[in-house]
Amino acid sequence: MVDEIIVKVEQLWKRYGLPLPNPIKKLCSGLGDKGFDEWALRDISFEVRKGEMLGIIGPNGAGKSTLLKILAGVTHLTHGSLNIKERVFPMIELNAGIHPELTGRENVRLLGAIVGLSRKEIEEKIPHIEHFAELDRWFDRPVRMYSSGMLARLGFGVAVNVDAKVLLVDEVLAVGDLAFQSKCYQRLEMLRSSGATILFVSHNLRQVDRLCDRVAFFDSGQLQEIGPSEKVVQTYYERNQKIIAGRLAAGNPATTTGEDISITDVQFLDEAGKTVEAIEMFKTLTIRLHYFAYQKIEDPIFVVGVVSPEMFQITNFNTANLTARPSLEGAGYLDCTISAVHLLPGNYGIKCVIMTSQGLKLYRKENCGWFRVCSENYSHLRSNAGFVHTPVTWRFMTEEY
Amino acid sequence: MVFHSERMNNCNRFFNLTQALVYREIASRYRRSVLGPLWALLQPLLLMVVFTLLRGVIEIPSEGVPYVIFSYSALVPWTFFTSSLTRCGPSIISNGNLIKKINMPREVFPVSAVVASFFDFIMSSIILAGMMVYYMVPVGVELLWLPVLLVITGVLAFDVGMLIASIGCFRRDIVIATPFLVQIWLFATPIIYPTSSVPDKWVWLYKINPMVGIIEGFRNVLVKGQGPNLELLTFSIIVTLCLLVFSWPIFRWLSQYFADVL
Repeated sequence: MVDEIIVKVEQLWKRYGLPLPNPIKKLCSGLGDKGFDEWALRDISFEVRKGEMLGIIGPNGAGKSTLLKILAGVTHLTHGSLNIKERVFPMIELNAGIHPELTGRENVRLLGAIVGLSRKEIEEKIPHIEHFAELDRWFDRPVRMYSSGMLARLGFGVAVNVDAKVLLVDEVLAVGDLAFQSKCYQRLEMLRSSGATILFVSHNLRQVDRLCDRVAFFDSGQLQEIGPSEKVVQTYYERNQKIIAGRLAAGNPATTTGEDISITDVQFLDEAGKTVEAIEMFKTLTIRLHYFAYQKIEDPIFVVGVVSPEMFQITNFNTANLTARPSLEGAGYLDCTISAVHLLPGNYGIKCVIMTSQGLKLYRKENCGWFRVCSENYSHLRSNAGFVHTPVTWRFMTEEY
Repeated sequence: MVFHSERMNNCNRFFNLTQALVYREIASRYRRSVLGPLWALLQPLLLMVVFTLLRGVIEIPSEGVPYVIFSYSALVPWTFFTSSLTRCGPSIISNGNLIKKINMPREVFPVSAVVASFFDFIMSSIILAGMMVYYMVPVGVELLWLPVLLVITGVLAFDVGMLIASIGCFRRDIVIATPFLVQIWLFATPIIYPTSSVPDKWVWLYKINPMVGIIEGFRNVLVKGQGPNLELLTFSIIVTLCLLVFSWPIFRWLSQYFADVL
């Protein structure tokens, strides 16, 4: 049955702390108890079907982890009902049970018992776990000698080898190195195609969009939106953009001063040379870098980088290939003109580096300024589809056999 | 309510988990120490030496038995009881990371604390057995009482330990006070002195302590070659069972909220 509902949450409310009667509570607060009166989750209802991967996104403190804790049966819900039809396995930093003096193998036995495997099951799985964790000879050494990444491998090795039907994944994948991460994602995909239901908490929106069928967006303890990944991720993304834009409007980041030369201001100009905050896609944008050189600088190279709000560098351009580079002294500005902006709608930051022709850095600043790309005429272009617009043409042809 | 259609064999899980936790406790504690498990015998042995020296200064009757074995035979079960308690106390708090992440029967923590202490008890019994041979203490069928006495001691430690662990999870005071209270309890129990030296007018109060019957029982069986005082022992059993009926539901109820406050 494809449509079988595995997890059903109805009008769930959660408040932390003991549900003591009021007089006792007052007494406790007299004894230095901080109030637990805030609702961590309010009126949450949703369903997850068999084989589905549900992404859970939202800012810190939105109640994502609380929800997973309740689903894992670790903490008690205050009101409402929760129905889970399969064995739940929380893949939340399994390292909690690990003891530093025991070896990797002994710890796997311990973790196995903790997650509820029988001794026979554990002994059967140890070779698989050993293979998956790729710890080689470290597997029989005390865990206190492990690096944090190796610890994560051990915990994750146990986690993915438990045949759970419902998996709760809480941002555990971020610890391993790149190769191990991609292995973990593959394993998640495998588990899912074998019918496991996965609830996945992450701040990596692109990943959530790519991996999940549906996404639930939480904010301040409430379920804001649940639906197809693309749509919900877009909502969250736009809300983040607003926050970022609001922060930018509050004031330009202060400029730091270099010893030899520094950027005093960054302006964004449109075709007409007017200062703008936002630029329409495919229009011309000029980034004007005002500099001040405290002494004569021979042949400096300017590097301008464009970064996303997640601080991914999207592209950068520099003046190294310029044939005529003047020596600089005193105040001046450098115009960097992008003839057609191919960036997708969203906020973008500028970082600047100035160095000598030998590559010695004279000045470096991460947040020199921000601009927004908008697309009133091209509403089909989604801001979360990537960073760069790539013009393509499509052609369908039929072939004769 | 959480409902698992594929319900596991809970008993089996509990057993596996206890075994794993006891292994972790014992293996990890002795792995990087020189004396290793010998520490388990040293603890009551050192206490015995202290009390034997004390007896050189103060007159303490020992009912015709060599004082060394008189006190050691009581100190060994007593150490089992108190080390269970001091292990139980922080068992929930120190496993907080685990409790916050994985759903499991929380009783495993106090249970494995008692079982790990039982391991220490076995170790220190070896010395006791050696002493009994040395002093040629006559033993008989009364030794069959030992398992009964041990079960009562273990259950009583589990009762009190559950209370300390669960309440201590919300208010640490009780955990901090445990070692101190255990010291007072030591002097309120016939360990370094016989029950007969308690003044008659205080005996009724003295007997409220459930450990009196148990420790007396151990000493009677091990050293005096008698059965335990049944009247006292019955009282200890009743107290133990009453405490169990009282502290287990409290522990169960509080355990739902452990993850909230840890």
